[in-house]
Amino acid sequence: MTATCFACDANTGSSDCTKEESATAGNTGQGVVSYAVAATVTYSQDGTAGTTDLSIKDVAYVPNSKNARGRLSFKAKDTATIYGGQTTVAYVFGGQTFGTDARCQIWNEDTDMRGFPGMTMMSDRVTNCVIAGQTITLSFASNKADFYVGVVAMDAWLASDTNKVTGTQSNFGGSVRTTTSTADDQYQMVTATAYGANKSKMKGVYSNTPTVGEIEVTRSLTNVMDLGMIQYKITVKGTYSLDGDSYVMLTFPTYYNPGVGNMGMPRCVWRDAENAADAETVFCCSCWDW
Amino acid sequence: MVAGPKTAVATAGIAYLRVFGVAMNAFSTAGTFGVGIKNQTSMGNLQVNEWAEATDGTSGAWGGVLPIDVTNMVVQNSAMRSSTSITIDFTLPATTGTVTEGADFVALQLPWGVPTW
Repeated sequence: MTATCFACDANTGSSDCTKEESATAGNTGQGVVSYAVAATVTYSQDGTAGTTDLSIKDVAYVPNSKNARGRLSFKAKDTATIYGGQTTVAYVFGGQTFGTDARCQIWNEDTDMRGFPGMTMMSDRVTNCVIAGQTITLSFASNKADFYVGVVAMDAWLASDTNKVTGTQSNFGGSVRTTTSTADDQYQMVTATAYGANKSKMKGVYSNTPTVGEIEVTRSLTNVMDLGMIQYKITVKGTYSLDGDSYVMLTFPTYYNPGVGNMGMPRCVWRDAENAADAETVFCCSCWDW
Repeated sequence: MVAGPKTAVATAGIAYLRVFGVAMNAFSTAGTFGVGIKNQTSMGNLQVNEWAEATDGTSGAWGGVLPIDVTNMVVQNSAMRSSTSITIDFTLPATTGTVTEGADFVALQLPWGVPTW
């Protein structure tokens, strides 16, 4: 690019500054630096043009354990200009299937919460969120991307060092931005193996592979409209104790109420060793739907 | 999320947990319950130490009988801040629950704004 330079006296000059005005010298003129057609400045690009790639950020899977069922949440990152009603962003979570029961939720952006009941404010930034196979497609309602995407009631978490997140932003039906084509720079749903070699990049986020547990579940009542009890017979398989320093995390099929029932605050009781009587009532609450 | 028991259950031990107040439901395809055991000291990495799943048991059915048919309702006194009696006429369902007995009851929900019975 080639440019020419000139300047005018702002106190005596007009609000604009033309090259003709800058060429008028003397006290009555406006000229400060005269325009000369031969005096030019040439600009050239320093290196390869930089590009911005679509990505995701603030990714959390709770529990962050391979094969466990929980909730995925994330935010869109580095989108191109968004046009409400004309922009879609499709993220592909390679290797991860969400299942037909998976539900999408959109929350307002708030660093103090991640969609926990009682603190969740749903957002109207997205008109539609479609989960199909490994893909989550968001249809934007406005030009803002200040929201969390939450996926609940999904299939088991399939973290793998080879699973990468790719995506495409489309405006008015055409692709305008994609995630990087460099596989090593794509977001990874990593396990401890990859974490060990990339601790500086991972920020402590990786999925463990938990011990395979053993449970039996029975229901006291089965009919619709009954408010009943579910019993879990839990056999501890790992080399640790289930005690007061522990939590037990429960997930339910989606045909139960999203809040399980009883306003998301069920009553939870540990039975004695013989399962003959209640031994201890403990605190429990629902963390999110199902 | 359920707090753990104060009495420790060691490896290979069995614990029984009951969750009350669960609204039951019917299903055509059984879903999956999940149970994870998590140590409080690992809250930072949001991981569970152990995870197990079980398929739901026998499905239920719609448990309620047909509703009663309210044919008339009279409030004897409509003055504010005064009490009143309510007379409700209803018929029983034609096919089920056609006999009233001591074990039956009818529930009446007052409209919002009525502070007490």
